[in-house]
Amino acid sequence: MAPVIHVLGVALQTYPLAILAAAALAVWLAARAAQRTGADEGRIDDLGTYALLATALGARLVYAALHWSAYRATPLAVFSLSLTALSWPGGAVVGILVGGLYWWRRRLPVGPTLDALAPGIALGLAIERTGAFLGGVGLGAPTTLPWGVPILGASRHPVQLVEAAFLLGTTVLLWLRLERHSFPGQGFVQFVALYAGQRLFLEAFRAQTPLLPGGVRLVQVVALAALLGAVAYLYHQRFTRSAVRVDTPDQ
Amino acid sequence: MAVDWSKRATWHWAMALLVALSVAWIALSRADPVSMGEGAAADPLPRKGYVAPDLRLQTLNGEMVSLSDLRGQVVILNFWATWCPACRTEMPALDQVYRAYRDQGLEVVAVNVQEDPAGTEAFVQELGLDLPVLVDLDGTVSTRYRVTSLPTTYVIDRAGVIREVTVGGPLSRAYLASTVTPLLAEKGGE
Repeated sequence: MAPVIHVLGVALQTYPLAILAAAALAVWLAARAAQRTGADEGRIDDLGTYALLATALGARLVYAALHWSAYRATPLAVFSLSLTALSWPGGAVVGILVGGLYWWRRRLPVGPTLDALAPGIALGLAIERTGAFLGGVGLGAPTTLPWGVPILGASRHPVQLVEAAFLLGTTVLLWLRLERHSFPGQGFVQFVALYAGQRLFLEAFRAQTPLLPGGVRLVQVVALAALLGAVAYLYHQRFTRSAVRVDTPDQ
Repeated sequence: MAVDWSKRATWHWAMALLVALSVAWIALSRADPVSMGEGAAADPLPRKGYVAPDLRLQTLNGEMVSLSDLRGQVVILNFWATWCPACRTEMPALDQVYRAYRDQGLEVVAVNVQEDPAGTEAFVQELGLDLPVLVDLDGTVSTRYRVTSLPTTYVIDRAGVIREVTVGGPLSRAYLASTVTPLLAEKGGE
């Protein structure tokens, strides 16, 4: 674990650094993938950049709006360069809204765009998980099994690294299959299914997670719903839509 | 025997198996709500969501302070040193927040890391700080908290659970106030 690294006398936090690297590489890979899915490379690049900038800016503005009583006296504190005072859920909403607006205005094709984004998102999450391991975020549960890694006084499941490895494998798989889709959007749906399956399985090895009554892990329930939704969509595309195509004579 | 994915029946069986295995795994991997729910992690760790490790140190006045005695209050635990520019810059903000919210149950504890108490006392006098400054002469407490960079600030709720960890600074008064205000409104502790 190395939550802080010192470069030329400056202390840098590994987890936020990993998130920045993850965002940059996710956009870069999505733009490369766009060349192969039929989406516009430049527009995917712009989409990712605008969405990420809006997320970062939105995270601070939403935080300040939610805590305006604290900021009223010193409103310039809103523009602090500190990595604190950020509302990530608020930022995500702003990022999705801005990205969605750009998507709609530029009339980007839904399926090919989602397919281009999928490997980038998987790679970004893999880097974020590696950063989480280094930063001691989202610790694994204590274990006596031989693969346990000593972290903060206990031997723990290296769950973040396993997640990172799985996501890296997902990235490679999605990249290799970019031009072998049966329908536009298939790569993205496959990503949802793989990611949800991974969360469903590996969430069990995390030390802390939100719980439902009876000790059921909330993330697993959400992941199961996403997994079933993705599989049902793949099934629908494979059988129902092909049946409709066969039954409908060409005009 | 090869599986024929072109048949609907294969998909139906596969989906039924997927649901059964997933539900079984979710049931098998249920967590103990006592040790995990509501941030009540069993092991004290210097990480967000865990109970803050206890500490017992002397103030500059020689008074003993332990974190467990502050249970029931919201605590800002700040590790700092006078040689650290960001620490010096944020100290007035910490003090202002301490003065503004101590009546509502806020305690600010500034742990000076391995410095001569006389020099620390001079700095505190120079700034006219009200907040209690603890002295970690041998670095035991900062080591227990895995402090690798100064300043490092922990915000601890009334139940003794770490709710925010910030490495680096300077922290603004607005940020500190926005962090402690919702925690002060929470019930619990003791």
